[in-house]
Amino acid sequence: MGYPDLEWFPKPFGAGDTDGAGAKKMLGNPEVDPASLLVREMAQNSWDARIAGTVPQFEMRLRTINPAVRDVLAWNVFGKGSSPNLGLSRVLQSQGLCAVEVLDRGTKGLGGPTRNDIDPPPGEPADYSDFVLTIGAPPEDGYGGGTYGFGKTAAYLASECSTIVIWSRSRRSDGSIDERLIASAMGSRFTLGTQRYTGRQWWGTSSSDPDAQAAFRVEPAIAEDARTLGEAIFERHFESDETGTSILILQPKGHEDPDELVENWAKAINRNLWPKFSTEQDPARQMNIRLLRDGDVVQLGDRRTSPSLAAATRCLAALRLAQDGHQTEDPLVQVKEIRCGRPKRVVGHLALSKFLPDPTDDALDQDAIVYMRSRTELVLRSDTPVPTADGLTRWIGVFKPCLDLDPVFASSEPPAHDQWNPRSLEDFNERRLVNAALRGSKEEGESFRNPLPLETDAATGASSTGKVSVALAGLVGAAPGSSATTRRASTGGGGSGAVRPKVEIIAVQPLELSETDLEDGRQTTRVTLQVSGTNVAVPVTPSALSVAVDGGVMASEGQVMLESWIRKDGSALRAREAMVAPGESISADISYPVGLAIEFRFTVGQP
Amino acid sequence: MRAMPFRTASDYSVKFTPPRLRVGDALIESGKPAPTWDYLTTSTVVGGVQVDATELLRSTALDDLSGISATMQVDCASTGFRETVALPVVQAADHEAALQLVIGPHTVADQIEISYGLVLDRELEPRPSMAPYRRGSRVFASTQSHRFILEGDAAGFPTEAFAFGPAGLPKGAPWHLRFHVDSLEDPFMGAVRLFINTEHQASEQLLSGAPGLHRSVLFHSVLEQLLVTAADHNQAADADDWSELLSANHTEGSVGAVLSSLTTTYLEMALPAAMAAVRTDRARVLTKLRESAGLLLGDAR
Amino acid sequence: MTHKLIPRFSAGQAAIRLEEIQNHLAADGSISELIQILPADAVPNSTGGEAASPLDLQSWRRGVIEALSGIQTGSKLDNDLHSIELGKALSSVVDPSPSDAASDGVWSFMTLALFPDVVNARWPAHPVTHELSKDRWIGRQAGRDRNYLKLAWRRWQALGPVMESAETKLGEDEFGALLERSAVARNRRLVQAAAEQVIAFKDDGARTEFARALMKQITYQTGPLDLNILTADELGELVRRCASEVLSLGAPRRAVVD
Repeated sequence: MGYPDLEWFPKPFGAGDTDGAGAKKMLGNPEVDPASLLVREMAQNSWDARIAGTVPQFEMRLRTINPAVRDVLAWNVFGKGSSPNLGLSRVLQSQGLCAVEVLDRGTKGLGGPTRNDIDPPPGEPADYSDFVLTIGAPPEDGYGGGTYGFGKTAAYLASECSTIVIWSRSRRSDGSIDERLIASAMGSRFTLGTQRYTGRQWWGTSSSDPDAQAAFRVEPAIAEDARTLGEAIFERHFESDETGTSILILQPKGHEDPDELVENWAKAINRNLWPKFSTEQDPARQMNIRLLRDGDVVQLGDRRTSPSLAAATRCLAALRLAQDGHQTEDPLVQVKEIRCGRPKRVVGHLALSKFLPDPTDDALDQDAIVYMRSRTELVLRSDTPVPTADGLTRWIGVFKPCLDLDPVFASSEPPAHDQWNPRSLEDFNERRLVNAALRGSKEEGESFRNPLPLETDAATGASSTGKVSVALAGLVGAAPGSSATTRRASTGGGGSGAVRPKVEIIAVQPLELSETDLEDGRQTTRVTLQVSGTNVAVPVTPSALSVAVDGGVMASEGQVMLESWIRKDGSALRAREAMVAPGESISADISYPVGLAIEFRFTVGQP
Repeated sequence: MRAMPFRTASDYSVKFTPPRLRVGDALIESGKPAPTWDYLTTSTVVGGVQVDATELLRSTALDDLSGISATMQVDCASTGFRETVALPVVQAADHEAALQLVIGPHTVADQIEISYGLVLDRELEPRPSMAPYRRGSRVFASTQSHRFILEGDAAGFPTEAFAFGPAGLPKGAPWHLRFHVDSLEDPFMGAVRLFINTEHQASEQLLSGAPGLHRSVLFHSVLEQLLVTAADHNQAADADDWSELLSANHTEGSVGAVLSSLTTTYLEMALPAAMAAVRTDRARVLTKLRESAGLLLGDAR
Repeated sequence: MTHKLIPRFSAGQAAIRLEEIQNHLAADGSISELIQILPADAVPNSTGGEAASPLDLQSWRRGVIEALSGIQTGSKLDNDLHSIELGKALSSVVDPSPSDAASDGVWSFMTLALFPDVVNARWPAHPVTHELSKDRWIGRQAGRDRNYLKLAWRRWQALGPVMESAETKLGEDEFGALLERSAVARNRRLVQAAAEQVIAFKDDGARTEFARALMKQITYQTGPLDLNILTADELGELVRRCASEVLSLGAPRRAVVD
């Protein structure tokens, strides 16, 4: 095939060895879900390995293993054997073989000696031996995210066959590149012939070192061999000058439903790694994080579209300021000092913010406090959500201990780094400090979530804004609107001034109903009128005789009619028109259906 | 001229006081616009009536006042709202009695019309005197109606008021302005909205719109944000396109047209020049704005 | 109840949009392509409450369309039911502020942007001229106050409870008769009492004529009487008296001309 073959190195039981299953158990019983565990622990390792002055990259790539890669794995990497109880052969033959490649770049890679039985020379790292060979090595400065060094166990836990392939490039002190590839599994104990094995096994090369101590010595494939195999197996290769580590986790648990698997990882990345997202923060706090599925980039949380992420980012920015001795000017965030009474000191800070919910926003756990250590700023855990009392908004809180207390809080973490457990601390004062942090944060969160009612009787309902709207009307230019500021009440048309003869109504009197009226269902109203504005008699006619109704008139259909004109002397004129002299009073009897209201008008014709 | 089929009260027997509309603390005369009214306003029509008992009884041929009520009716043709309040005229005999009618939020629009009347509010026997006898008879229907103009064509600034705390906005902030400059051709009234925080102790003063420091600061702050937001949009958009768009003629009422009128009024510059100045010489331009907007002079434009 | 402000079109915008829709339909375009949740040129009133968000508008559309699912248009019976269910849905789902709904721009927005398909189902373009009815599509902004959505909503507002109880639903002409005079219609109790009489009228063939004649009789009464001060019982009695008067005159057998 042209690829180098690796050899199989199962670890025989020796004094003090724990078996592989035991090593996996060392994580304890993490409260976090498997996706979060994997994401957080791997990212923490990557973060701890970042090279100063570089924004590290962290990627997770779920991919289907194609036949060519499967062949390299089956023949060249694992071809020399594996423990029967590991399930590796079955996995390699399975139909839907897939893997997740977890990688970092801009990181120092796994350098240092390839054996863990000797100390590295001064100034040399022990990253390779700590990661590949040893379980439970603490980081060198005490502030790293891993602290116990169990992070790698999460990678084995995530694999259905507890098997991973590690490909790493690091820089030696002389500046040259060290490239290494090795496969490793953390299985259960097994027996071959009469020999018992721990279950820990590696696939690498034999040591050329004739040291008699090295009865069990596995070395990684290096240089060209490592590169050839790595490039055959991994999707993401190394650029010529790049350092970092890629880990291939074979057949990740949950692979049967890759949609859900990727969704869980995306959620876990959002929840645990969001403090690294913002590209507007100091590059020293950033990590370039990507999740891919078969080469396609999966959308991660974005604070521009996720109110929860935006709120958490605001909180974190305010916390950093507070812990640098400055006050935030962000009006959307409240920062609280969390204090301990004995020993008397500030233990940390809690930043709180409310935001308007977006039903599509599931980037972060909302309505809860998120805890993280001060330097790494990787999320440790979040509380059980408790909604705001107003029922309208969501809230989020972020707690960080003071930097100098980071090691204390780290000591209270179980291997899975998923909580702070004060009782696990032996020092009583340290216990008190962690206790005070947890209790104080909870109390502040509670009073933020459910504040005491305002002592105000301000109306809670909507308020009229008409006045202020009008006061600012100068800012809307000529935009059309609806405020009643310019429309004027109608003033009516101006008259020409010419005097015209007109009719004046003097009296309106409903007449008593006669027998005939009662029989006909009609009645009569007598309208007395005069004319003015004329020196001569003018013809007057009734017009617009109609039935009056609420809000207007209805056509009378002939039912409202002029019965007769009655002169002052009592004479009657049955005509539509009557000549009326100036100063003369004349009455018009209008007949209409009984009980109705009527409308009428009299007009003056030409004399 | 309208005539009832029964005798009605003479014009001299009853006097109605022209109604006034109370909107907040303002009392508006009929025929006048009510510029500060909006849909959320609860307003009150305040009127009055006085009758000359003798003349009323004489003209209607009724025996006593006990069955007569004065009514004040509020109509809104636009929404179909109608409410009537009635008061026994015995309470208004020879002295003025008040008639009041409260108009709730979201009930009226455009304009309201108030009309007065006297009605018979009991059933009597028909009489030869032609006195009214049916319950509801319009004993007097004022020929005059009174209007209050609630809405017109003038534009107020789009504004909402609510408590910020529960809405997730900083509860100590007195206001928040939303302004989207997606396109200069969008209607300005849709691109902008001012939110007043009713939780804030200054909200009452802000909502009152009364001249003073509050109004001055609000006015200036909104103006400044409008201009700065528009100027900074340049960075988000394609710079060349944006400058070109700024120079174009804008439809009346559009974002571009309103910004243009604001820069002309307050900065004495055409829109493109003003936007460039806000970007490149911001400190000086904003100082000029403080002057032209009369900031802190207490009587904002 | 909090009412949300509905975006509006000005008369000019509405006219242009109506023409665009008309042309689109004439070119055999699909009506569903014309649905727009929130066109940029539609603007709510500047004050008076919270403006409806795109999410509100979407949920309004969903709610109304759901309420109308399965309801046909075409026959008189179907059309009558469509109008009633539409009014009911607008009332319960959109629940416009009566103040806001007084603006015809609001109805133009709903007709031309949010529910063009609903209006088109009932008032499609003329088969020959391809013209859409201005009255029905944009109402008073361009013609008579007959915007289909506005009318449906107003009818439900005025007569909702009565309408539900009718075995034979009230039709277009009957609504027209009952609500024709706005001054009379403002006395909601009166109109409801009248509608009950119309529904109780058994001769289906002449019910519309009966409704017209009855409303005329009732309207006559509003001249001399202020019916707003009457109790519900008194109004019921008055309407019954008017109804028997109409029936005693031999009506309804033909349309009564005002």
